[in-house]
Amino acid sequence: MTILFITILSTLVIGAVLYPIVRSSSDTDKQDSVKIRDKTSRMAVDGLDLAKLDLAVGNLDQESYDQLEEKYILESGLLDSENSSDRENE
Amino acid sequence: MAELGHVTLILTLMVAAYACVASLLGSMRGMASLVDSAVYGLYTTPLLLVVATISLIYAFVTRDFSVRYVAENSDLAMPKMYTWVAFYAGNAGSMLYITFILALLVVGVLYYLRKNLREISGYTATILSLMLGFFVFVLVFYANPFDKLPVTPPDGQGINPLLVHLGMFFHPPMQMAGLISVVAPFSIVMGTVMAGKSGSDIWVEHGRTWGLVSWLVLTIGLMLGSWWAYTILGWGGYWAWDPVENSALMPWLVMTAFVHTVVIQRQRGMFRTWNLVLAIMAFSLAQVGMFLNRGGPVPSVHSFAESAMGWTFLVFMAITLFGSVVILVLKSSKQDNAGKLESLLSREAAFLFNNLLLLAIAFITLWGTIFPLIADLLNNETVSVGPPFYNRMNGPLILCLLVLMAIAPMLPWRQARFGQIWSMLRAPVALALAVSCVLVIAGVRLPLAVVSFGIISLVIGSVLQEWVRGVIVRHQRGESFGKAFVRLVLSNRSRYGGYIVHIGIMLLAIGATGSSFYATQEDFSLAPGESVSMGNYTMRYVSLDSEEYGNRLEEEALFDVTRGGHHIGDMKPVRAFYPGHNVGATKAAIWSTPLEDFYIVPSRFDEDGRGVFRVHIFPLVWWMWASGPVLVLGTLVAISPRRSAHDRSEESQTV
Repeated sequence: MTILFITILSTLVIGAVLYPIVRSSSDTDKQDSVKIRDKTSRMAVDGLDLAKLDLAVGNLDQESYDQLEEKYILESGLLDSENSSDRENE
Repeated sequence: MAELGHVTLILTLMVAAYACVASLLGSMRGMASLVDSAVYGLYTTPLLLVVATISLIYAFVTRDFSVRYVAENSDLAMPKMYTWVAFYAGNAGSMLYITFILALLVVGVLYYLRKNLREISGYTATILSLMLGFFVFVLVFYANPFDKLPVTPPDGQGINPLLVHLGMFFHPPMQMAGLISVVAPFSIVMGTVMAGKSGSDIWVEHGRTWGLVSWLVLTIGLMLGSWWAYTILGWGGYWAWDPVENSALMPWLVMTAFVHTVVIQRQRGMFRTWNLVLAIMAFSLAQVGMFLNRGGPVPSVHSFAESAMGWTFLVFMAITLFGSVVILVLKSSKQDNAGKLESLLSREAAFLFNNLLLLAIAFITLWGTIFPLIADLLNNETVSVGPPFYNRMNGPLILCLLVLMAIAPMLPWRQARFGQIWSMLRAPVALALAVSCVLVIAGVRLPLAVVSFGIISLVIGSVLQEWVRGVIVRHQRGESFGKAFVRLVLSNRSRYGGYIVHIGIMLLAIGATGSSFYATQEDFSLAPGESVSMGNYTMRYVSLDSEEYGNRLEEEALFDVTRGGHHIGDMKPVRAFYPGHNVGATKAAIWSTPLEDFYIVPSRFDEDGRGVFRVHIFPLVWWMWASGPVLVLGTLVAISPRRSAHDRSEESQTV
């Protein structure tokens, strides 16, 4: 019984380790990275959204808000340029 | 089954070793399939460790005393329900438990990163597999829970009597999980540095999330530990500055600093290197905790039996600390802090002071904890550092920290003017002064207590003001007050979750202040039928009931208690004696209200039924336990994922 269990577990581990190496290459990784960039871009939009609320509540002065706005727009811009350079490489 | 458990440990060690090498090579050479192979391998480790855990539990349930660990930590008289407690009652079992939690953490962090920040997940996998590998290595070579005895004894030695309590089902697992959870933010930080991304802020949101997870688990562990000490240990307190308590407090303090300054990094691009250092520091202090807890040389009621394992952890801590610093120095040449501290009157400066205070408290605590060890090594002297040292050194710093908690969230970024600060603080200061005056009129005369309650009111007032201002702004945009409040909290969960946590800390401070400055204590020797009064309370010792169980003699006293002439109920403090261990254990009887706790603990009983009892009145300590759920709620709000603006706009379009 113990040997059976050990054999099953070992097979499972070896399968898990070998699977990524032997599987045919797909575009899963590229899709993942596009998703991540999309998510990061949304986070920048969220940051801008929060900064607007801070400005309205009075926790942020206009100058700081402008600085944050620039930072978030820059983040989105950089991401866009990375996306486009990736597409060019493809 | 024990053999199966042992083999799965060896298999886990092999997987961790492979994953460490494969993820490092894969990341350095850009071979994604090799990194994936390492990660997929790591994904199997919780399954392997579940099998090992079940094998050990099976050995306990079947009372397989041929397994050394089972024989040392259980006996035939132990109720089956305490199998879970016995599982981590000793060095080897608790190591297996920690390793299993670490494996779950490894899977959680890697799965999360591969969804959100794939570019650092390879190096993070290297760090995580190194940690996992070390713990499994210790299990296999130093503390194997599946070791066999040459001769099987007919019965085991039994579980430590102090552990036979409901609280033991939750406190040690949470405390151990808390210490190991610090690995999560540490691995994300080191993964970022190794991937050469430390000059950017891409990791901040994710580091903060896992920092908060770790902070939450550490907080729950500390709270449960205090509650256990208060209700069970029966010494009439909840915090003794014991070395092992301190070892959980130190990473908690540094993690608190970390989750504050990562917000500054996100908002202003500042403190980039500082945040990396904080994560490394928290991890190193957690390792110090492991060293103290694992048979280190500093005596503590919490420590496991003396063993060489503690020193193994110290060496590992030294190596990881040295390695982390070297990697940080080598990879941080391109560090660039985008923002600069423009004024000492700004939110970022206040956060920096908050950090310095937290670190000062952490290092005073570290010094007090390791000083006996240093004295022993240098002068061959036995020295103990007690609560007066910590209270005198840390007390003023904690008060300063509370003041900062009131002021910092109200300060604007970059630079504030005095007039601006005053207009923000006017209402909370008025509240603080009003509360202080009321307390003085009500008879509170100790200056420190009045100051403490005043500062607590200041913090609560400032948080309430923040909420009120936010709700009013939203209400002016057409939302009802209720909806405005809920949307305000949900719109910035990080900040408003943080405010809820601050309220929780204030409840804790109320309990600590009341019980520290106004606790009273008296000892009484009573025969059955005798009565005695203390404060507003009168207690009549009715009877003593003795009962013998398989492994202990239990004596339960019955008290009839009245307060101000009104009967409040029966109270039953218990004292048990375990002849097998030659150990006594007590269980206090507590009548608890938000105003005060009436607390009876038996010291000893004579044969004629006469008993000696220590009786305490702890004002306001109820608030300390009430703070636990508030802290958990606030942290969960702060961690909870926020729907993105993109999602919301899509949703509104659909509607």
